Amino acid sequence: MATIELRNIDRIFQGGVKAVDNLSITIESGHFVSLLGPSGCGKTTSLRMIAGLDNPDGGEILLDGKLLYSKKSGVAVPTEKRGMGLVFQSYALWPHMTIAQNISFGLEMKGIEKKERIRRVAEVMELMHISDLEKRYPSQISGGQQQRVALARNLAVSPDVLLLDEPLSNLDAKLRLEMRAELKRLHETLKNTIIYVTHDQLEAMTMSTMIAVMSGGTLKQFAPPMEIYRKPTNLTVASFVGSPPMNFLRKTSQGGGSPWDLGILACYPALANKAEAIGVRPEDIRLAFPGSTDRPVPGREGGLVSWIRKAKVATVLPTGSEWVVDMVVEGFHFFASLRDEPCCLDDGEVDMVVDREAFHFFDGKETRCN
Amino acid sequence: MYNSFKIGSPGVAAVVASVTILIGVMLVAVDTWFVREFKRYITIGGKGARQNPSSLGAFKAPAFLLSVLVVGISIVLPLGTIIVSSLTWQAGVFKSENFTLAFWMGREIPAHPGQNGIFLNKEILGSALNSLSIAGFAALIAGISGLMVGYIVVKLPNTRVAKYLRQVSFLPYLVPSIGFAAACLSFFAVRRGPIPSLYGTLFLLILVMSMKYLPFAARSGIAAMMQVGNEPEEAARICGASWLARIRRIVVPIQKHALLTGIVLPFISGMKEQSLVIMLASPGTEVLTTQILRYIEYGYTQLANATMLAIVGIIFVLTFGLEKITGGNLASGFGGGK
Ligand SMILES: Nc1ncnc2c1ncn2[C@@H]1O[C@H](COP(=O)(O)OP(=O)(O)O)[C@@H](O)[C@H]1O
Ligand SMILES: [Mg+2]
Repeated sequence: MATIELRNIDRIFQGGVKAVDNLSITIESGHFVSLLGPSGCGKTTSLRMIAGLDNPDGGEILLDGKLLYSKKSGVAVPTEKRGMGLVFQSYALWPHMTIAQNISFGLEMKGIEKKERIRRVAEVMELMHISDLEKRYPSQISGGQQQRVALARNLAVSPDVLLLDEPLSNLDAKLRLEMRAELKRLHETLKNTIIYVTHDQLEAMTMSTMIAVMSGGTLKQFAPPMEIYRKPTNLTVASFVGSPPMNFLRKTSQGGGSPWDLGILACYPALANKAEAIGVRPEDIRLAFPGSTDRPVPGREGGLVSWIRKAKVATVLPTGSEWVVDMVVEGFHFFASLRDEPCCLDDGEVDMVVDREAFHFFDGKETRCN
Repeated sequence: MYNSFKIGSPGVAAVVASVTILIGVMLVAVDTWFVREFKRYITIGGKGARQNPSSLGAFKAPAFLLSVLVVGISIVLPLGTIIVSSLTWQAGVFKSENFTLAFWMGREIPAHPGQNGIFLNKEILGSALNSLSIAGFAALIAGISGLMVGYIVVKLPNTRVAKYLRQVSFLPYLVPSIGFAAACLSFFAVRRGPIPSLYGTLFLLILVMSMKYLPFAARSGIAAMMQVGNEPEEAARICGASWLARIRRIVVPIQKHALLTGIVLPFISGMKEQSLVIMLASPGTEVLTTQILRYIEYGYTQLANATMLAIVGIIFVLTFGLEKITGGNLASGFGGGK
């Protein structure tokens, strides 16, 4: 059992930088929660406050209902008594100790006897595939290996809560993918609570059971990954999650002569007066080519199944696995991402097709309204 | 300043001292301003450093020659001259009867009333012991406090405490040694509250000397701690290590070389220190450097030179002995290598 609760956490650094602003979140025991957000949004600061390496200027932190920190009640459990694991972004291995000594240190501090220590260290090194590094020093191993050692050092003491600060950001793409799979598998076997800080949405999406999207020190949405993707509750989350990012039409940006909503709102009378921004994901856009047999079904019975508009293709960006098409509809740019290579683009004229359910609407306060 | 003190005009000395302090304060202001402009870069962190020796290629021979030349002019030449001088009755005469070991281990050297060679000279041996204990303890105190200052500054970045420590630890550097010694002398000459009069004690010399070398030790301590940063210790906290365990198992071992440098450099300077001890040494607390001055005053050049060589010898043996014992490399404390 290890449920972590943050209540109205504030952290203001010297110089008035409000790194964390009224953050409230409950991280249930056994979950793999990602703190996702752009660089500088207060993720590391939040993690350090949970670990006790930094203290909030206001609010409370609880573990299983017991106060870890509260300025008001004067409670501040020191880091070394919180029993959490933390993998630093820089790994922070101790340069004067061998890999085995690095891993064994936490066990030693727990007062575990030598024989058991040796057994545990061997076991964890086996688990992390670093058994052959035992006698080396941190400066003698690669970044990926250091990352494994940093993880092993924490796993050795099997903490109920494991905090990870962008642990994969220093690795190359292939290793990152492998480690993602390994971390997820590890969590599925150990079932401990993991809080994982990252600015990489793919990492957050692939591994987490819950994602907390942060921006400017505040929590923007806290939900399971697919919900974050399918139903972003506000404009910030909608524009941050997704790659390529969501296309937006905004009331504030007028196109050449056409209404800002391209007539989409006409089909949603309930939203017509509320919505001030409309979003559609590139992968939710289909293209219908002149002369192709796969024509979409146009509007029926007054409502609309699909929304169709003539578009002009500006350019095509093949990424290997997909084709990103940049096109213009009545002065507005849209990016579509296609699984299959677009054909018949000779004259650059296509039909842009979007399913009715695929639109995201946001009101004047940038909150989702559909 | 020393002269104005000697001829009994402390007013002039005070004016000279004030001017030097004023210049010093301006330097500190400039230093603080500069340091503010720079971000802190952690260059070692937890990843360990690697050595990347690169071949000098075509520059190998000239580089080697240059280093030989530098070593020759700055060390071998002067040291050789002094050695030869301490072994001859008359300077510059290279006849076999002119060479002697009298200044090293003779008894009752002719024309030097009451003086034995320095190995048999009670005064010199006593002064050597004084020099060793003063420089040794002062260096220990300065080195350890220097690293502690560094520890606190890194622990509490951007706080008033850190800023204050930084500047205060640098203050003794601004005051000329003699002025500093004079101030301490007048302050500690009489009993002050619980502090008894310290005049004429080794303790006073140790105290003043450790203060004099604190600026260097603190600077190198701050640099060394900044280079490693706070994370290794934070990682140990995560592992449940108490403060004592962290200091003993993480901070001190990582800073071993920096600590060694912070002790050895003040020790070397302390063994050679003159301007400070000239004011504070009294009968009974004479040190090797004051003995040298006395010999020069008497015109005992060879004895002065032999004593100087003794200082060099002591420094050499102790420094390299320490290096051997700790398995360290002194230069690495400056942030290079290993
Ligand atoms: N020790 C500190 N002192 C002052 N400002 C800080 C400190 N640590 C972080 N900040 C500021 O707080 C904000 C959030 O930082 P951080 O939590 O590290 O962001 P993230 O990990 O999401 O990239 C940033 O604007 C950063 O500059
Ligand atoms: Mg960060």
